[in-house]
Amino acid sequence: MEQSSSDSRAGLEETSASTPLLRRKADESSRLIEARLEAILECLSDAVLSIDNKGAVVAANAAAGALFGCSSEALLGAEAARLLPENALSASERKTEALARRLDGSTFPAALTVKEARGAAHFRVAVIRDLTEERAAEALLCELRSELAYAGRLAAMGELAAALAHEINQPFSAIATYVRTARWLLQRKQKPSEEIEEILDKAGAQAMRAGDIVRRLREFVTRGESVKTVQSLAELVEEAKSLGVAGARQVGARVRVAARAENDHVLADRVQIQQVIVNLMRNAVEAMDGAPQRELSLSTSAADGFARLDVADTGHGLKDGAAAALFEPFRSTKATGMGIGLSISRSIVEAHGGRIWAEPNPQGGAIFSFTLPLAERL
Amino acid sequence: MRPAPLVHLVDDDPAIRDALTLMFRSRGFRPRAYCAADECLAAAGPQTSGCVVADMRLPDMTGVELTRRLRALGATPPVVIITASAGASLTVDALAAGASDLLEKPFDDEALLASVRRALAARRGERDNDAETRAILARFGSLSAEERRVLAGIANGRPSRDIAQGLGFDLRTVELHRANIMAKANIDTLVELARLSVIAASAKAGEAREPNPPLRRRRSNLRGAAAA
Repeated sequence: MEQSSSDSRAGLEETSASTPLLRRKADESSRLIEARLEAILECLSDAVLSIDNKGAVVAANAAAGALFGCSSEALLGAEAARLLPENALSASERKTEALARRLDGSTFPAALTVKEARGAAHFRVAVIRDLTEERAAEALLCELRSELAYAGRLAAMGELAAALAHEINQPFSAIATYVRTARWLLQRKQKPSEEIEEILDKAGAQAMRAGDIVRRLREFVTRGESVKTVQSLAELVEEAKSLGVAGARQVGARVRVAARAENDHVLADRVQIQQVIVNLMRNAVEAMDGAPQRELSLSTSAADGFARLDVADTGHGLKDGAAAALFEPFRSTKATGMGIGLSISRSIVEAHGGRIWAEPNPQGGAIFSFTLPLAERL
Repeated sequence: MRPAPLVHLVDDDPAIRDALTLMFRSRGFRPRAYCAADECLAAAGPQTSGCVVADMRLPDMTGVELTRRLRALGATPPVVIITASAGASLTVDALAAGASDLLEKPFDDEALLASVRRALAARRGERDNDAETRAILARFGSLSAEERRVLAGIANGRPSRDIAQGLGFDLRTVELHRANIMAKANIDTLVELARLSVIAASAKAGEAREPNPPLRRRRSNLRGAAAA
């Protein structure tokens, strides 16, 4: 076998065809080769156009007719530039994507490869695949992912509801006391008005604080289309914190945040990444319930083209070998919760081109980390 | 005239600390603010006077735990618990652990002031003259004998099902009695019902035993007395 295959490679160099399919056998006539070639072209589901040196279509298979909405004969003599953008028609080894145009003027997304025929200057062959269905499937997948993420956010907020009510009650309580005190002071006319103004300003600031939490909460539970924008990961952490710390207070955990990168801008769906952050914070807090030490630290950094967040807790840690299974759905080890938080987090992070993982914290507990590609790389 | 009483504020939320400091100062108290229970405990001792106003969820422990530790240090100031996440059982627990009162955030300032004044009066042994306590007892004045037994169960922190079993009633009867108690005493929430029931039970227990019982003794009798 070894021997014969090296023999045939030697023979190949004398023929004009370079692919095994069109390899000429010693006794095969060029008519036979042509027939074989034609049969192959007619079998293909991709459109194949032959374009001459003037840019006109000189041959088209049946798939090409179907794709461009006419018979394959109708394409003969047509200007290739009418069907495909000029810049996509330059010969290249790479597959490119372009908007192709049917004879009736309608367009469709297409993947195409253009190759120059050997030995014939500017004689090109273009292979075109319709991407319409692929694109629709991608869009559906994206929509399903965003629906799942939305369901995950609703579930998360349901579990956090009591903690959030607590969190929103705090500023309201301060406002009530500030306003009543200001009123009492006004009534007594004992204090200069600047002091009372200052108290009312503080009440105003607390109202903004409460409003801020409510606004983030509303964003979080609104079903929205996935919109990616460029933003700093540290800022996303800061914003998500106002929802995430609600649970931390319940177990008396201290929360620290450190931003270590000068540039940690990522192209991301803000709400979805915040969802991942809130989810990691919640898991960390739950893992620390009843633990002697309750420290939650979030630190952002950037290296090798990726921004990274580490969420470290001092809770009961990971079970041996459980780290990988954590991200599978319905693997919850907790008394409450469906066990979909981490699997949704993984699907969000991976859809953003990043990675998510868990490892033991050298100080005890666990560290959950994820990366996202830096925006400048995209 | 007595010197302005101290109020020890323990809350980890800076805005709450600031607002309460302003409020108590403007009302003639001397506020001291602490952001964690440890800080308050470090400053406390048998000589500590005034009243403690502590949040239920502090970074290092609960308000109830703080109350216990203060007592262990020999510090006897009354403790008023404030919380942004109250529940009827939490209220009973806090009061049974020796807190004087529990108020839900956001609270009416007058309610907190009244609670602190009542706690300070009780500490000075003026409980019998406390108009607030008498008003609370008066609100329960028109209850039937059966309603009183249900109220005692509530003050004891028992769920309706338990109360029903203990009294040989069915659950629906207990719920009906509870609704009647709330209507007669003009109480809107279960937390408020739990709070008032414990204050009333504790006042009754004090009356039954000695004129001015020390706080700890009075509280430790609470469960037994309320169940009786």
